[in-house]
Amino acid sequence: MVRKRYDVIITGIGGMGVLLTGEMIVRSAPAQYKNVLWIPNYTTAQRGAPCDCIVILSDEEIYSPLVDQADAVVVMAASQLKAFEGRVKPGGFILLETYGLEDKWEREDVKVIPMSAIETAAKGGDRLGANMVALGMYVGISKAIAPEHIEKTIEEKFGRKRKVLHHNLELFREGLKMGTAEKVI
Amino acid sequence: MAERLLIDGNEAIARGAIYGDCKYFFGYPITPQNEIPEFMSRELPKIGGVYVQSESEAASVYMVYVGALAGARVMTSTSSPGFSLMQEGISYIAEAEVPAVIVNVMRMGPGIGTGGQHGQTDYRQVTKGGGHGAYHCIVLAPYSSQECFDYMQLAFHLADKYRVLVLVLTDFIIGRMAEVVELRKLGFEPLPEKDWALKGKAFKGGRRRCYVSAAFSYGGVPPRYYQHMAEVYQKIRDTEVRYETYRDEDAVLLLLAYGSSARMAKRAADMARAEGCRVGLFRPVTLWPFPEDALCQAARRVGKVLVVEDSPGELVEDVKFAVQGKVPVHLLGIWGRYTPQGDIMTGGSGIIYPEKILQEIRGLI
Amino acid sequence: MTEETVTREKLWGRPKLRVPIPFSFFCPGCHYGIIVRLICEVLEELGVEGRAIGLAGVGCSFGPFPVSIDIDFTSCPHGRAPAMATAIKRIYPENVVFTVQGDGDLGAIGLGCFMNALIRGEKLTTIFLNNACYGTTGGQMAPTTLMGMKTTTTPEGRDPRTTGFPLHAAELVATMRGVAYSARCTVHSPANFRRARKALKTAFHKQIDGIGYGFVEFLSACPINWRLSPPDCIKFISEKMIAEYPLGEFKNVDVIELPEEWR
Repeated sequence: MVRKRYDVIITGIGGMGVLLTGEMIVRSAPAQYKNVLWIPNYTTAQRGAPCDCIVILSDEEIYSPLVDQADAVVVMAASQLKAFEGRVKPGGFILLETYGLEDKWEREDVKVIPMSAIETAAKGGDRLGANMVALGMYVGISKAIAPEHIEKTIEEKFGRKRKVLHHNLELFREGLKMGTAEKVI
Repeated sequence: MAERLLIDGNEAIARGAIYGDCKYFFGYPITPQNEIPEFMSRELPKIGGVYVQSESEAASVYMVYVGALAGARVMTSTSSPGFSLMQEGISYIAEAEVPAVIVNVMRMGPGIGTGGQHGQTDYRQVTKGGGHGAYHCIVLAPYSSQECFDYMQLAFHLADKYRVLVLVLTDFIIGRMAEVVELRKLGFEPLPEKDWALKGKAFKGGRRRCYVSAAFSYGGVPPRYYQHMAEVYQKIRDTEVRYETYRDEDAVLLLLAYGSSARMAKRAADMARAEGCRVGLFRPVTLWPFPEDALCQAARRVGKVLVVEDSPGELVEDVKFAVQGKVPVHLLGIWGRYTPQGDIMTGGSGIIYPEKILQEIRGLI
Repeated sequence: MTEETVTREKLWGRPKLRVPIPFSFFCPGCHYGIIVRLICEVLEELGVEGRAIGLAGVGCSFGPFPVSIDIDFTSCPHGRAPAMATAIKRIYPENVVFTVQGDGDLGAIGLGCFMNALIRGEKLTTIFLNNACYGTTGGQMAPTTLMGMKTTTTPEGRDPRTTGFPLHAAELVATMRGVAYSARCTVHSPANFRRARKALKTAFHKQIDGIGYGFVEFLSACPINWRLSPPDCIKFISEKMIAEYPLGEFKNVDVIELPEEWR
């Protein structure tokens, strides 16, 4: 089902690459959408403080950069579940990191998809790559954007560091595989 | 074919300034506009420009003041607390009738506020003149990255054309929101040489410029300064008013908003129309000169106005003044904020979402 | 020399004045947490918590220090803490009034207020937190940035030909006549922590005993903006920072000499 508009909220803790994940999506999107928008939410530059960003992709003009409820929420740090459970539209989905997850979700009108991005990245040698896994899963599930556009953006961003680039692409593809396997909507 | 880049409002401001032939930036870091000085510190040296990080906003504004006196296209950018510090300098810039551009990326006030989150609580200070002396500055309020880029070029042109200070007013949301911008150089009518500038006699055919004060310049009679400025301000009012109307032709309720609130209000207007409510939007782009006449006409035609601003009520005062009591004016102000997740740590202290504006619209129709 | 019984409580327990907060304000590897602890211990040791009034400048100390230390405390507009501290101390001379300020607050926007408090020879104490950049706003150049150091507004490294030389606050303060104590220390090792505690106690004593201004500068790690891991930050301090900013006491007098007619 090709929709004219996708929006997603990505949330986590500062230092995890939350904003980077959103950036990867929004930088890839002009290849497919007439209008794109990205907005971060943070004040002081601090590791350890919660942060989130919103990405909107649309063929129509985008007016409000802020959405009360989005089509999807990617929760990269399990501690953010409670705060962001209400930010998904009925019928949407939550990609939920399972590492350190203690809370239980209450909503029954959204699909909650568990994601072990941190573990997957850790197996590859570095937890910091979790955001690439999450990115892949989101793209695989939502089909909001063609994976090749994302890969191009990852190459542009990390092109100069060959090892990091290779590692990130691998993690993205793993996430993509996991996401594509999920049947949503 | 002009280049298209995905950039946020702050970077668009910086790039727009460079496209506006500004090569001199004097500033000081303050959240949420740090992307502007950081960009300038990287890019200006590459084009033979100058970036100076001063010790404070007070110092920056005086550097801008003298740069303007010297006839260069100069600017600074800051946020609300820094803007307050600049008021004396702005008063001096107004007195000397020199052109400059100052960007205020608003944040919540008063005082330290929330340390950098959004807010539209500088409207009155920016439009009514926060410094002493009954002067006016042109105030432009972009609401997208593209407008930030375009209006910076316009700002430098208007500043030079009228020899006034032009303030470009954005906020955290516009500053940090990234959209695709077409990097186009705008064309403007040519302007005369700045023969009044301080450059050294040798560079001006031996003529010298001595500036002490306005009273001194106007033959010791200050009222002549005000008389002259009244003519300048009237010319600006006659020629430079800018605003946008959206779906207002057959509307029964007119939303009134500028800057980031206008983004939310536009979406709310679309949502209302989808429900069958005929709602339109009037968006002032120049906050000074305020589009009084156009607003009054539109408001009287529509019959009811809802002002949406992230403030306890500043824009609404100008709106009430413009409609002269002929039309009911309602306000959805800062109390319209809410945090969807109910958690102040992540959401700051909430936002006026389009959903809330829609709720208010339903109550008024 | 007095003996101190080192109890488990003292070594690992929370200082009495440290407000228990279930999370940290500070980035992992930041030294502010250690310095907050140090201030709490020293104020408690001196027995002045009842009459202490703290003033925090704008920066990473703005909210966290007042909230974390259980004494009367206020935050101040950027750079104005020394002016405000002056007023409180003149109104309530019996109180122990001190400021906590970062690089911009004391060395840039606040340099005027700070120098004038020193000129007036106020009986105040200032704790200066030097991380060689503007931390809170994302790592721009500060007056204390080292030459060649990369920051977000000196992407090629600080060039002294266009941006001048690092500000040596402790040495500058030592030249002022009304200053009784000026020192620079760190908390990046236990030995340095002990020396810092001694310096801070001395600085406060200059106020308590009515002698003159006391000043202590801390070289403090900033892992985020230095883009170094916490252990590498400690190396950076011991190798690069101390090379530019030597540790030690730059002035320590028990009496501010007055001309004959004023004695």
